[in-house]
Amino acid sequence: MKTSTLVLGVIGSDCHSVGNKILELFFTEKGFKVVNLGVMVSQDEYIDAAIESNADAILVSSLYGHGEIDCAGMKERCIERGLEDTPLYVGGNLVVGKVPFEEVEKKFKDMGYKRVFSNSIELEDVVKYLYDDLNFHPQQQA
Amino acid sequence: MSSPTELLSIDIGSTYTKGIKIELDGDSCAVRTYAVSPTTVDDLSKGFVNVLATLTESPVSDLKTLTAGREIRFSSSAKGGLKIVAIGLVPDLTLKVARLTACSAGGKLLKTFSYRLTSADIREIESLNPDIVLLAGGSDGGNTVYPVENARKLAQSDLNSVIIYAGNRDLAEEVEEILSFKICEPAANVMPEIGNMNPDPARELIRKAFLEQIVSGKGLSEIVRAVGHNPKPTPLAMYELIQAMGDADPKNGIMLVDMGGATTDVYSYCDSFAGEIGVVLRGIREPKLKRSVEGDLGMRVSAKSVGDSAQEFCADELDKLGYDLEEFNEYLEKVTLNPDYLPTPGDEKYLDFDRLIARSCLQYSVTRHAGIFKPTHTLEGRVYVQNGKDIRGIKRIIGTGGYLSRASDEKLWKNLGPGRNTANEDISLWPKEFEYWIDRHYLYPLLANIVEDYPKQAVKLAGESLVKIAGLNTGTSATERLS
Repeated sequence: MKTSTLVLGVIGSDCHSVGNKILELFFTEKGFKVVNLGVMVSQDEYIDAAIESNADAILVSSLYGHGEIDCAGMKERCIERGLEDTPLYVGGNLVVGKVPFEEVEKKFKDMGYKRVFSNSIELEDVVKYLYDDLNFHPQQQA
Repeated sequence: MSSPTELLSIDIGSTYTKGIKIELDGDSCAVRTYAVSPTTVDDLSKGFVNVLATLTESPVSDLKTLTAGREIRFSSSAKGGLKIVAIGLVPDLTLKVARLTACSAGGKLLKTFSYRLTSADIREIESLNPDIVLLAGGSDGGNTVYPVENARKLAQSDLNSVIIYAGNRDLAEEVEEILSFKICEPAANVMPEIGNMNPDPARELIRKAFLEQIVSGKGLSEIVRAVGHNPKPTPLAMYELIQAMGDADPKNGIMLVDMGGATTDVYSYCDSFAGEIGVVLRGIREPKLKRSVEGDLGMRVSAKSVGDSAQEFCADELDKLGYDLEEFNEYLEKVTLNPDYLPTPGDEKYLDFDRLIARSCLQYSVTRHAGIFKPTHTLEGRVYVQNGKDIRGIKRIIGTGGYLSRASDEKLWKNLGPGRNTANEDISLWPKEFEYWIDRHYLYPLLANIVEDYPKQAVKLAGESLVKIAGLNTGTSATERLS
């Protein structure tokens, strides 16, 4: 059976580890092969792991409000290192303060992220997007 | 079968062939006789026979007669180790793991390569002419592009080295096919999952290649025929000895520094990550038993490169001792060209210079072996990001090798420690508080020969041959800063 590999981690100096563990369990349950890098992950570490594991997507979490700074330039870095076709996803509490989500979404999409998830999105919805975007349908294969 | 009462262990080194006679009686054992003779490079069996004759107090000089009915274990250093080139994909992942694997197998790492091999890289590998090329890349189910392309490049090269493929297992058959006109040995992936090492299968293949290489040494096949079994590669035997010593006392970590003329080898046995609150491990989780080989640090052949690698450290120490840097550099030049040179007793200046070379080797080899903490500020306060192996818990360091075995020198480790050569804010994870012991009669390579068949006795004798030199504390420790 064809699998789909996700590289997962919490970016920057962020040590929120509980949600990260839940995401690992959830996506594994949904049929993905998950390479979980844990917390405090640098941009290069996601890219290193994605190259070695031939990942289909990189999922970046940020919960502590500094997401904008940590996530900036990641797409360019992926391109430089040969991962121009690997989609980037980002989600969590991406900015500090009450900024309308549409603004946040636009900002991160402009930075090259394929999809931007707010902290209130249902994981079931996230997984549907991933199945479609990555053309991966484990239920149908089974 | 009752155990033999006499066991002979012989090590054929590059300069000297050494041997001991061990008396075994059940679980108790003792070293009885020691013998040494120059290694006879044109025919290794001559030196071997000399040592055997001394050990057995026999006037005969015939290999067959001397070995008949005797229990013998022996090892050979294979001219300082097997030459290995390691190829990985990402420098911090499969390449790092390939490097650790090559070192732990007793190899002499000539050069490493990452990502795609270029034609220039291939030409360089051809000119390095390694015994083994370790080709890694990709986790299992992972990258399928680079390992295959690199295998193709190797297939088109003029190399006749053994190529061990230890990358993404999905590609093993394809790579083997591509390299069907080369000597290719597939092993399990050295990094099956991101961050997790699996060095043993590849190490086993390196060991086999190592054996074939040393058995082809002049005169060695006669010895093998007479003794009835193969020699052990010396660096691998040491690895097994440290493993057995560590397993016998797993609570207290141990470390061994084997300082020779050309290299300084460091072995550590302890958990690589303590899992403290406030510490996050990044990158590869290093193995419990780790060996590192520093090719630029050694007492003689590498003395000049010590001067380069440890430049600031040496200048600083010379300043304190009141010696001239120029004069020290001349000395380094002299001993590099004359590796047999030993300063005469009483010649304080040259003895001090040798001590400084040794101190530099210790400072740099331990620092390179140890991991680091990078302090990082987060919303939850300060967090340490750990890279590499945490060896702070090591309680005993053992010195062996020509210089260290002879030097009952309390001052040798004085003021060495984590603060001496780490960049910026990083905290080097040096052993915090330890006892320094030496292998007084330089028996470890010989005890290492018997550890596979007589582990209990080898560990016991290894413990007995140690002499305590000093208790040390390397100053401000990272854990104290952690609280």
